[in-house]
Amino acid sequence: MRILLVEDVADVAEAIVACTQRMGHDTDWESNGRRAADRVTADFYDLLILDIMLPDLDGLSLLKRVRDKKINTPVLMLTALGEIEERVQALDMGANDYLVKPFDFRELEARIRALLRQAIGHPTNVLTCANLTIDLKSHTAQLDGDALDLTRREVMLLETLVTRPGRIFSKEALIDRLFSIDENPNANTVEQHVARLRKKLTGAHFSIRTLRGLGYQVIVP
Amino acid sequence: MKVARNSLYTRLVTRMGAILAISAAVSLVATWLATNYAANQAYDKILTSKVLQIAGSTWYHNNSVNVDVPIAAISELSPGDETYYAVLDTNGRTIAGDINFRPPIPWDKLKNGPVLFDGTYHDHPVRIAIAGRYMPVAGAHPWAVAMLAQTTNARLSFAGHLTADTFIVILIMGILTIIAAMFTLFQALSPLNRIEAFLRKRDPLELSPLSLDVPAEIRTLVDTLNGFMRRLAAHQATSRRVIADAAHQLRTPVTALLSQMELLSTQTDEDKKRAHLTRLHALTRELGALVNQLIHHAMVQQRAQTTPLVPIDLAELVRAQMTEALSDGPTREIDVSIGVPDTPCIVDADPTTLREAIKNILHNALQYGAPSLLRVELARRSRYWELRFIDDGPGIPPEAWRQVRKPFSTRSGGRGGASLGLAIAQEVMASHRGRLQFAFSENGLFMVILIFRAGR
Repeated sequence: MRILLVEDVADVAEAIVACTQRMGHDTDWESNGRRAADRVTADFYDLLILDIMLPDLDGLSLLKRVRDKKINTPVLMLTALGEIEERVQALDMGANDYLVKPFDFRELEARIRALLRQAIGHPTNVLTCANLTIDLKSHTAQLDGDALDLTRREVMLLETLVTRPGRIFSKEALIDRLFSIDENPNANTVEQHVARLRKKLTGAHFSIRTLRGLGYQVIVP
Repeated sequence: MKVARNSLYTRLVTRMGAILAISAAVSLVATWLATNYAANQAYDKILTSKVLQIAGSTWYHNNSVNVDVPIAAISELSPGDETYYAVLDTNGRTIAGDINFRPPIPWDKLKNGPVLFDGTYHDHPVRIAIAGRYMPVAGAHPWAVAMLAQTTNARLSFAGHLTADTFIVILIMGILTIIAAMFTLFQALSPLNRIEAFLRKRDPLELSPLSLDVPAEIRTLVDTLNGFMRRLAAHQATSRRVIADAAHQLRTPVTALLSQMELLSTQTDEDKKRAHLTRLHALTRELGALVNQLIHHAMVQQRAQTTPLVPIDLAELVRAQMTEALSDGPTREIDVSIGVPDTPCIVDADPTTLREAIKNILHNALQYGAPSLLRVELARRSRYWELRFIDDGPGIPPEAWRQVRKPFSTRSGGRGGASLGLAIAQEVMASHRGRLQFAFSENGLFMVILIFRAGR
């Protein structure tokens, strides 16, 4: 994957480039906002990582130019501005995610991975989480290579939760994804499905955690 | 601050002047009306008695009416006024006086006594009096009629003089009153000027109370000023302390970083190098978190003074913060729940700082408390919303409850961080006119409680 990093602090840039290269990506580094704007002309890059404070052209203006040119490459903003307003502004202007400096490189890695996955989907049609694999084409799941006996809806539920381990999915969001309005679903239906799924997932190296009042999340220890 | 175009003094004097002018005008008009009325009454009395005198000097003899007009009755009533008269017999002929003087005669009123009315004669406004004397003849009008008219100059000049005199008195009194008022106002307002001069002479950094003798009415103003300065001084003291603490808090970890780096650069043993690196990593992370907290603390303080509160749904905000805090959160087995009413829980708040406060409390609970339980409850208590964060961790011992509300309070247990989280929460709650409380439940669970006034 090709990544363009626009960051004017050399120390930080060096580390990010090293980090993305370790992840197996090709990364170009640009320190000037205006020059960066000239480089982003087509869908050449798979991901842009933009700092907000940049010489000549700041990150938010650069983001605006990119989006004005109808380039939909995912953008991860790095910001040292503390105020939440700036973060929200970045998201409003079409950034896909943001990270507040100082950040942890493990966190950066996770965000980059998530954004790239969002951009290209699951090319192999296989979703993996710990010792579970889901075939997205045939809608079947395997635990340690043994097929699991799951209903179609249970597979869909599992797919949703496992796409993004750690994220909390509210019951309402799950109902929207799993049921049509005609089926007259309610919170209890979701609970029953999760309960059944948990039982069938005995032996999985992850768990589905209930956060009462909030939703469900997959925890990989 | 908005400054009125004219001073308080000018405004008061202008208003007082206007009131005086209006009252002077009203009394002048009243005087004019009253003197006019009095003059008319007096002159009418004289006119009536004279016309009666003339009527009384008629008699009937040899089938005709005779008259012997007394000189006093037709003498001029006042210098500069003309008098006209005529006496008619029962046939309406003029038997004495001015033949041309023929005002209309109100026959049916004659028997009731003399009649008075206004008219004109020789193009002058005149006051006319008519009196009849019954004559022993037959016919429609058995009356000898005496008519007397007088120009009105004397009446008018009488009223005019009286009014003019009154006007002069009012004018003099008015001017005296204005002067007295100006002086009084000047004196009444002088304490304000003194306070102003006093403040101007002062060193701008001097924030001790004003020591000025002022009248009781101004006392509250001076007290308010003093109270304001006291708060300002307290605020300054706090910021000084916070800056000093922040300097200490920032320099210490940077020194630690440099020391570890120094150790690293001279270390040759690979294992020990790795240990230093791990330590460096941890120290840097702590420093980052500290810087973040310092920024948030400053942001919260600044917004507390400048940002208006808006109605928000507290339940929604808490749920969003819980979701954020627990997404990618701790992976240990922990029982998490949130209980909020189904209806919106409206409070007046600055969502930005409130999020920060709740985030800090949740972070504390997940980081240092809550080994296996975190429960968040929002409930209405009469006019308040009570938000409880309950966990099964060791909590904060009651003797530290006061201390942890202050920035940079050192804590036992050797935990890192700047201990700013709860200070931020405390400050946010203060700016929301709410309260931050700590408690242990009956079954020993630790609770951080936020109390908000319910919004309308």
